[in-house]
Amino acid sequence: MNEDIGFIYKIRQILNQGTVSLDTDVQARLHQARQIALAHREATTTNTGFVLAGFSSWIAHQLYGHARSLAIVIAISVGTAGIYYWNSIEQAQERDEIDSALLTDELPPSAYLDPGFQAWLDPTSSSSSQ
Amino acid sequence: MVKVQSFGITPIWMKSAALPSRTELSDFLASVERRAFKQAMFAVQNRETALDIVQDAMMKLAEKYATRPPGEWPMLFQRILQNTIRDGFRRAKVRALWTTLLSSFAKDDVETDPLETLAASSESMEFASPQLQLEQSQLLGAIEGEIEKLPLRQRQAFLMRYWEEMDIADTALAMGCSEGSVKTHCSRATHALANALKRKGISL
Repeated sequence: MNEDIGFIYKIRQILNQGTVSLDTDVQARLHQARQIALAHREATTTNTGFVLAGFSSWIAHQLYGHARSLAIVIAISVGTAGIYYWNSIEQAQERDEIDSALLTDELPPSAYLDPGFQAWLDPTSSSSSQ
Repeated sequence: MVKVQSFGITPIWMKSAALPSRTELSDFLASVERRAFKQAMFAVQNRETALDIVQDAMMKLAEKYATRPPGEWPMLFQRILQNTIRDGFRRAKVRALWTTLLSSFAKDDVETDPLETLAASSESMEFASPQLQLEQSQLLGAIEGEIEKLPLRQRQAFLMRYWEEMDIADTALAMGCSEGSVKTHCSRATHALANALKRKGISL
C-alpha cells in the first residue's frame, strides 16, 4: 500500500509537469474559455429576479403542461356535442321528408277505410300529436 | 445532450444570502482548467474538441452552479466535465464517420509534418538541462500514453482520486456509482499502470 502511495505521488508530480508545459495557444484558449464562463456567471447571478423568473416560469410551464391536456378534453367534448346536435337536426329533416312525402303522395283508396289513418289526419285526436 | 443532475435543493432565500464572488469562481476555474484540458485530451485525443469540452463544462458550471458553495465546485465540475467528455466523444465519433465517408470523394493534399507539433511542446522546460528535459518529456509521454490506454471508468476514477485529489465519496458522486466501485476502479487502474510502466522498463 505504501508503495502505491509513493507511485501515485510520483505520477501526480509528472502529470502536473505536463500541465505546466502546455502550448501557449492552448493556455490562451483556456483563459478565453474562463472569461466566457465568468461572463455567463454575471448574466445569471446579477440579481435574484432571475430566480423568481425561473420559479414563475416553472409554474407557467406546469400550467401550460396541464392546459394542453385540458384543451384536448374541451376539444373532444365540443366535438361530441356538435355531432349529437348535427345528428338531431338530420333526424328531424328525415322525419319532415317522410311526413311531406306521405302528405303529398296520392292516397291508395284503401287508406280511406283505415280508421288509424283518419285518426292521424284529425288534428283534434290524441294519436296525431304523437 | 446529457442532463446534469442537481444534487439536493438549495432554498431560494439561501441562494441570495452569500453568493460566491466572481474572483472565487475565476480562481477555481484557473486552478482546474489545465488538468481538465488534459483529461479531455486523454479521452478524445483531439485538441480542438478537448478545448471545446473544457469551455462547455466551464460555462455549465458558471451558469448553473455559480451560486453553490465553492466547496461543492470540484465535484460538480468533474461531473459536468465527465458528462461533456462523453457527449464530445459521441460527437467526435459521428464527425469521424462523416469525414471518413466524405474523404473517399475528396483528395487530402494537406500533409502535417510531425516535427512541427513536436518542437513546440517542450518550450517551458527551458531551464532544465537538455538531458533532463528529454528524460522528463519521455517519461511524461509514456505515462500519458498508458493513462490514455486505461478503460474509461478506470481512468476517470484514477484521475479524480489521485490527480484532482477528490475523496472517495465525491468521486462516487461525480461518477454516479458506488464508493466500492470507485475503489475497485482505482486499484485496477493503479496496478495496470504500474505493470505497463514496468514492462516499458520505467520504475518510479
